[in-house]
Amino acid sequence: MNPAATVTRGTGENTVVGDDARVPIGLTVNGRVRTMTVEPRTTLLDALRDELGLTGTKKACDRGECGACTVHVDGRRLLSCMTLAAMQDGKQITTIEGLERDGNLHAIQAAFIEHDGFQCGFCTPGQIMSAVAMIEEAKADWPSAATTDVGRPFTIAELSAAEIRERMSGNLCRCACYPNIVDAVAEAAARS
Amino acid sequence: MHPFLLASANDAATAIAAHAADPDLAYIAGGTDLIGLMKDRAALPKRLLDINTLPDMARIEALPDGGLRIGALARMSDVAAHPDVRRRFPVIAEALLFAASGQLRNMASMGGNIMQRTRCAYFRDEDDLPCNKRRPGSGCSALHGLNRNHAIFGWSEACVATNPSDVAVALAALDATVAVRGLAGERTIPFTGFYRLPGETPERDNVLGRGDLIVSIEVPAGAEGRASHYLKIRDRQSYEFAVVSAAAAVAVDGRRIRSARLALGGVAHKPWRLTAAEVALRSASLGDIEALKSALATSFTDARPLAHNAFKVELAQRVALRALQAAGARA
Amino acid sequence: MNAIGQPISRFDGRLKVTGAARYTADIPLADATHAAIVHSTIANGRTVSIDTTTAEKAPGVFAVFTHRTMPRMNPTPKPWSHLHPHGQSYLPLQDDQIHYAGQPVALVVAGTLDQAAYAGTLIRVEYDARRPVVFGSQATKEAVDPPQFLWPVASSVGDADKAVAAAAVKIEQTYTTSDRHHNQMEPHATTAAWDADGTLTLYETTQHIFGTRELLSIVLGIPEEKINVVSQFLGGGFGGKAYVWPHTLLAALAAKVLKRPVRLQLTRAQMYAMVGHQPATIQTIALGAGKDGKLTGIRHDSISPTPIFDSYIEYAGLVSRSLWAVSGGITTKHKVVHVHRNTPTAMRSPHEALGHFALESAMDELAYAIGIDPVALRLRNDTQLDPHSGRPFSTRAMRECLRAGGARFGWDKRTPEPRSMRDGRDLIGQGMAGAIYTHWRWPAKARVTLKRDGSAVVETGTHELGAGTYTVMQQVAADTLGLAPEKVTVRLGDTRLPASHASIGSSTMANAGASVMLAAKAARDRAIDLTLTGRNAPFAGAVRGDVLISDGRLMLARTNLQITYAELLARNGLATLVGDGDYDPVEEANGPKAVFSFAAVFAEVRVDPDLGLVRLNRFVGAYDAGRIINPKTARSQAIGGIIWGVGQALLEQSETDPVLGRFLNRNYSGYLVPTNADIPQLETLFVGEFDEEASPLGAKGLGELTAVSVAPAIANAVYHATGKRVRELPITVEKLL
Repeated sequence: MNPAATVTRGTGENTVVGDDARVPIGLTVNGRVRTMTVEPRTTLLDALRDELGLTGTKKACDRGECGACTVHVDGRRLLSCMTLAAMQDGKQITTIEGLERDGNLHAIQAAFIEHDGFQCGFCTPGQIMSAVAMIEEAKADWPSAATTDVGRPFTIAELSAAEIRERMSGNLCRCACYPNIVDAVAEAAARS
Repeated sequence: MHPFLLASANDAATAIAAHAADPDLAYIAGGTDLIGLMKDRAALPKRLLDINTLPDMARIEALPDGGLRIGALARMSDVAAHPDVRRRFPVIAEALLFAASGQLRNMASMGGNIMQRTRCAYFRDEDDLPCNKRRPGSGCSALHGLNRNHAIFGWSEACVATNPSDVAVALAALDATVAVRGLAGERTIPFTGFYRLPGETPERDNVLGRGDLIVSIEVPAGAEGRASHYLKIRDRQSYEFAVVSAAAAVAVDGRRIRSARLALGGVAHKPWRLTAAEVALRSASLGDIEALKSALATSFTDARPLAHNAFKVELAQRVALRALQAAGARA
Repeated sequence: MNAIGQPISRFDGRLKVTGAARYTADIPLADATHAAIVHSTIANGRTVSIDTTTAEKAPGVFAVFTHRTMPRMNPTPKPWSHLHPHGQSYLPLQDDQIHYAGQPVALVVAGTLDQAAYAGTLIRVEYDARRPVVFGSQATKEAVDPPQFLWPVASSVGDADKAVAAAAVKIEQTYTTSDRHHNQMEPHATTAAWDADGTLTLYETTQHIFGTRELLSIVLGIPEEKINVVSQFLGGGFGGKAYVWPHTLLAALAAKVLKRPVRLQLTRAQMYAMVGHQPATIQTIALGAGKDGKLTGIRHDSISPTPIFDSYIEYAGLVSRSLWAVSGGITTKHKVVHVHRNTPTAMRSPHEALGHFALESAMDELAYAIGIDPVALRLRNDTQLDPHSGRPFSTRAMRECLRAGGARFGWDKRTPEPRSMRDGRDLIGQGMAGAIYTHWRWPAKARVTLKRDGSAVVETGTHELGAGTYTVMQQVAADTLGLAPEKVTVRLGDTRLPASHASIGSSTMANAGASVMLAAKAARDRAIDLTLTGRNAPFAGAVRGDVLISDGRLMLARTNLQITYAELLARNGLATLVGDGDYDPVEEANGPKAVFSFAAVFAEVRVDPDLGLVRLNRFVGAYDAGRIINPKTARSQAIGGIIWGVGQALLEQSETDPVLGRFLNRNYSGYLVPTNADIPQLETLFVGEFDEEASPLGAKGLGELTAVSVAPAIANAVYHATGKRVRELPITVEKLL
């Protein structure tokens, strides 16, 4: 690689990289600037859990197939198991631990408790992070696979149960609380 | 994952030069396919070049002639939500929305989407099962193994895998082109020629080579764009790759088809254009189901199902018919 | 106000929605190392050589273990018992044999998980591979009679063969179910830490802390009192985490050798062979009935796969022993085929969910053969006597399940002919099924401590899998003590607490719950004693029955005398008042009555006949699970069970490659579990009553029951919609085209 033209993160030989290959990064996590060194191969999920101790974000499939590791990066929901921490250098990250404000639960968190939108709770942080961002997507006129005519503008008023189900389908729940999750999200969306 | 180095590219020319010179370097954009491949050891690059920092590659432009230019780094969700994409080419928005999940669509780039590799379970398995796409010469486990999700068209003894991209099916139907920059400058590849059939070299999915960088995807203006539809059949309702899918776009005079464009997903190593059917459909009436069926059947004479996917031959025709009718209803 | 019976939101809800609930892999542990398992890529043979030299030199690696270096283990105890439940008898890294794909061949311990996993890829294993035996229809010729496991392998009441042969109407069919995997969201994880004094603390994803402790004690040869097992939040169990699997033993021994804590979390792919699964079944059913629909005979045989080294039985025929009245006879029989795979295990709902698919599909076929309504057929064969044991059922509200469920569903509006109901281009189908589920009785202990501040603490070694154990135990203790639930704290999931049973078979409420009730009652009675006798007795001379307790206040009836728990403890100079609960029920089979839960479920499907797509449209389940302690968490369990059934009916199957002899698609994109978009609104009704035979709390099992008869109801609805009888699960597109 030509270091003059690229910003290289990581040095040394490539076949076996030791601890000296760790690279410094800075993430703003739940409003706080956190600096750390990570290996290039460290996923954002592992950095959050192992480097920062933010274990609310779960590793369930580690392949982008379940949604349990959902966090927000610059306000968008994404899967922290499928991106490298070093690629998110400088970004704003929100995890489940950052959703409360002044000790008050986010409306979606409260709705999940009220509607019993979980059982074992393992997928719940991902479900909630997904729901929070999903409502913003719906407000921003984003259609979904449940939208009959994508050519028309989408309004939040059209966020039916069918729309919520489709938009929340990237988050698997093996206890299978789906109807309760839909009720919780619908209530929170209606209030927002 | 194995250890690797990560760098980010500031300009395309340097990125291309690095990629051309280094067989162990891979571009990374969204990472949603590549990181999975690396975790399962189906890709083992020693160096990753983060191209998200390349300028001007995430734009979505509605061209004055009615066409569309989509930057390779545009995210699936942004393309699907773009008002001009939705109005001009609903089939593209639908194909994107029926793929993956909200989170993955926020991450995955359009360039990466059309570069994603097959979901063949033998190819993906971390245990390095016999697979010519993964390890050339090791054999094809699917040919005589579990092949329900495999090809019915264009496969070879070496590989029966299918291409998993949904939007590629829509783009193939619309005669989109891929703008590629390489060491020798920029060139345009028609979508129908972008992917390869497996033949004896299934390790190569498409015609790109070292140093090639997808810059954008261009969709030409066409009377068929608005009257278009993507229909995806999958075992579960969401968050799954297609068993079979169809992209259809039509232009009509009244109820009579002036031109139809049809492509299938989940049936071949590339999006499968139904060229013969498109010819046969000309002048057919959208209301004449039997005529539509027999026109579609002309594209299935060369279907060669495997042990577990014979149902796809009939299913694909029904899916194509349904997609065609839905597209026609928008005309 | 009573807390029991109220739809109370979970007390651990806040922990779960804020990410503060600590699951096994979340528990911080200083100095912890990370382990990764290297597993066999062949299914049968042996390892010829294992070259670990490169891996040992890789960055961060502390140790690499193979069968040559892993310390020896004691054999698993025989016979198998829930008291020390191994998942499989074949122990890891003890010899060079390979009996299944995915078997451990090496363990790498390193500073980080990435380092351990990568070093694992540097290990070169040379195999002597032989062709594996796989399960399939051709394998049934190899079926053998297994030794007894949970219940008798075969059963016979009356003369079923004769009854079926002589019957006016006969249904004889084969039904199959697929191999399935639990796929809990939380992967199995274990962290083993040894103290300087040789005490092992094991943080384990388990539904059975005490069984884990006992099994480890035996296999690792250490006294039980030197082992603590902790499982305070479990990310789903469904039976798969109720037994001790090989990786747990490896982590414990590696930590001992290295003298450092070892953390091991299975990868999603390893969840397909490092731990158990639900085996496929090939079931043959013969029903004989009169023209009036009354059953005269049932013959129910089932064959399922098991490994070379174990005889796990999936008791699919169990359900036919007790669900319906049969005049002539019932026989059931189970056989196994030894193949190259790991040991199957209990998976929601073991035995019953598979057997019901066959029996209740066959009942639907019988209804159509006779021309009788499927609900009417079940009513005609309802019984208050268990056909198997001859004992009366303690409670059996099957009739009410059928009536109330059918009414809520609108069953009377159904037209019976197949393909007779449509909505636009789609066919609509409605189907139903009855259900029965085993009641398990286990001993359980608990301790309830009243504290001087007027609060109480419940301590018991049971588990929170998601069913709401923290919440319901709090309700039970609060009501028994006469305290507001908010005043009660519940501690679970640690072998340093009073011993309880495995959280399996929907048994926690009835058994662990009973122990909590008894403990709370003991603490309360000690408090009452203090009010009645002794120097400080405020109600001296009164009788027990006149003491009432509400909101932490003990009151003497018909007087103004009252005292709070806090004042009572203070007056007596007590810091605490402790009550012990020791619930020791007679085994169900030895009781005077037959105890089972019951259900009737109703499904409506929508089928696109051109595309072969089936989607669930709506579903009503009516359940007799005795008294319901918390209707909110109970409903959640029920909808979860229904959705498990939807997965079984339409999606889930782990396919084995016939040549490689391994499960393919070891991930969530290949093994399909339902998504949110697959599930419509679901309705649940609870029609059961207090069952004193089942439990002092009146509760029967619920969680497994709700997953039991969904698949046949859906398959029957698909038949009603399409006229096509699908006898092989799951019902996928190609079966309907």
